[in-house]
Amino acid sequence: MDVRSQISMVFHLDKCIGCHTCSVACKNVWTDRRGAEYMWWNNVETKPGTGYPTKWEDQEKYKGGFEKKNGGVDLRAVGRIRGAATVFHNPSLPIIDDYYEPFTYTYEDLINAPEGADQPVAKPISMITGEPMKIEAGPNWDDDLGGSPIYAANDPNLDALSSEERTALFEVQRLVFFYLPRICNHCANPACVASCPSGALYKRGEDGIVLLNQERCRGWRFCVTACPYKKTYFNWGTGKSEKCILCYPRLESGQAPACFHSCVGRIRYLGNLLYDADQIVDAINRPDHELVEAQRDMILDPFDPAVIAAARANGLAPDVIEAAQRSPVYKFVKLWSLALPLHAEHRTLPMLFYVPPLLPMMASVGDGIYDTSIDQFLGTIDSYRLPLKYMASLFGAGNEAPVRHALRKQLATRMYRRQVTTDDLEEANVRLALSETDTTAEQAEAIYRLTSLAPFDERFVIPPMHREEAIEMLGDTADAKGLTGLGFREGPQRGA
Amino acid sequence: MELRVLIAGLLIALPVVSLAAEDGTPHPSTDVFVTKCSSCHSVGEGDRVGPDLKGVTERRKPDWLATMIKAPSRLLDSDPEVRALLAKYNNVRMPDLGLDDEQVAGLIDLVAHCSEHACQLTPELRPVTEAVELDAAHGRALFLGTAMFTNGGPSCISCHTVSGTGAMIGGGTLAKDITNVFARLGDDGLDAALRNPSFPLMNKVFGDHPLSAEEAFALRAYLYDANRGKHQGAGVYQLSVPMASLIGAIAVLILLNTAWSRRLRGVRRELVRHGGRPS
Repeated sequence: MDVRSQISMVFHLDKCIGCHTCSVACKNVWTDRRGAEYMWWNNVETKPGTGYPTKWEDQEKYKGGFEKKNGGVDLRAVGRIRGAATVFHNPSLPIIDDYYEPFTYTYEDLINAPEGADQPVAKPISMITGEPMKIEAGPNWDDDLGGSPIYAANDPNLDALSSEERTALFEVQRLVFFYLPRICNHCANPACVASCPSGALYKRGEDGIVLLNQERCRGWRFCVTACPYKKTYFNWGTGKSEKCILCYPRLESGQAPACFHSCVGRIRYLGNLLYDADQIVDAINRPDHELVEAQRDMILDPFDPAVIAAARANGLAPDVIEAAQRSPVYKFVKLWSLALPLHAEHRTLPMLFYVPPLLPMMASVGDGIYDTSIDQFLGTIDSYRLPLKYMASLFGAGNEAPVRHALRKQLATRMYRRQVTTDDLEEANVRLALSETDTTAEQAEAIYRLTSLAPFDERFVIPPMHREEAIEMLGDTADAKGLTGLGFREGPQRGA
Repeated sequence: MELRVLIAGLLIALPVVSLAAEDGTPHPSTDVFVTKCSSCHSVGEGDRVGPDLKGVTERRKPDWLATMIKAPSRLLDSDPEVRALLAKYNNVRMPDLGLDDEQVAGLIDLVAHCSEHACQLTPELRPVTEAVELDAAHGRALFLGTAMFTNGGPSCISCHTVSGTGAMIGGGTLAKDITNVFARLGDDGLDAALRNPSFPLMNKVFGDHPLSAEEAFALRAYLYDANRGKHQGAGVYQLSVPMASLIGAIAVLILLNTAWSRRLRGVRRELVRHGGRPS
């Protein structure tokens, strides 16, 4: 058993209101720079939709992630001949238009324009060229199904549906969508790291954060191709690639990352998981429909004395193990099986998990009447507005079982709470729903609390980073003794 | 029949007889003269590429002669008399032959000797006028390298070109265009230049891989035709190497651009152009 600690995340999609506050917080902190204007390390996209960059899930085009081949698992984009033929000429990269050409407006014209007969106008200009431009796309261009027949209809996950189901999905009365906020998944088996010819990408040993060394990066952009989530970005200003750093400077000082901190829907949870790195090879070699379970099996019980002993033997500090025991992510992913990885079929073992949204049918239209009466509280999973097959394509690597379980458990919890607060459901039904999903009343209470009431320090259990130990591994800290502290940034000026 | 045998016998015996002139042994420097000098000079047989050397030992001082033989480049530009000679003999510069002092002395002695006694200093030569179409065709093959030299010398086209070779990209540009070499060197001179080249580079290249008399004859036939402009117009498609490279490069770029034409087409723009329908 090779126990490691990984800072891991859960996004509760049933709570996301698509306000993009996370994206803006991230943009203001990290990517408001020349060459990075187009990057959204955190973005929120509408599903069904093609997302950002356009159709990033279409690996026929982008060749991201791993696939099973030659009896093992290898990067989809590599191969001796393919690699040599495309080394300077990679055909699988998104172009700037697939992200969007970043733009701003000539706001100064509003103030500085000479007096004239008309109101001055702020023209849109490209943030890359500075030239006036026609805005044709943006990172959330299909927000709330805007441009649905083009963007929503081409969601690659809709391939899982029959053509009747697809058609039904886009009837006006049935239109449905939800939001999918995305950051780097800080995968346990990162394809970007595997693909980098310069060795610039690495996964931090102490917390599993995937980082890109700006001094080692040579701008090959293999990571851009390899990441199936398209979460590494090429900075055209510096000629190097960049990615989400999970705000590690904030984490190291005990703060939640900017996007987590700013989330108004409180959908985001962060904590560390203990996992068994020895199981990675086995987990990524499983067939698609077993991948979600295999990844869950890798996650270890932080209360198990054997796990604790192995973790201690592997150099994990006691307070890191203690943090793992309080981790909300452990509860959502392992204890309750509510949170699922996004597109596990790319075998990168993404360590960001999503609680799938319920989207129940709440009303129907017939004979010109909008009928809100329903037979059963929140209906049944199979009548939900987005077909289970679609959800399974996103969160189950094609397997409906884990998604069905996550939805039914959420439903059972809601029924339980409805029973507690308004007492208007059949008690037998509630008990059946709980027992069918292996949920006890205490567990339902715990899910309810963590979902709806959890304060800041329950949603974000940030393990101590022990940077002092990490620094000691790299060099002798006594070297710098007496060299830090207050001083003059400029020499003192004396006399006149 | 008998007459033919007699003539053939005489022809074979002739060089033996003449080489054995006088006391029956040729001058000891004969070999040096034949390989190094005879391509351009004769002694008493008239001017070739360069002047007839008969009596030169009496007209010139031995020091001057020695310098001229050993390192003509020292005199060719400075000595006004030599420059006058150079102009007279079609500006064909005598190359530095890399002879040592002993060989130079031997050559001076040979010239003095042969100015008074008849010497056989050139191999028998089959005149190019005897050549037929087939010889010229063989010569062309040798020039282009489609036929190999028996002793393994490199084909002429590696360094030389002849206008109207018919080769796609023309001949080499490392050495002279030899379209009109026949006019410059003459039949004798050309034969010597082919078989015993005194040009330093050719000497180095062909020293260990000499051409046979037949090969030289075929090449002479080809170059004779070339000199007469027989091949002019055959090189309509003849291109210079840089031009051919340029065209090749453009062709490769077009090929690559076609092969990778989807590279920068993007996804979103295609989606919008097709109105959301899969392209």
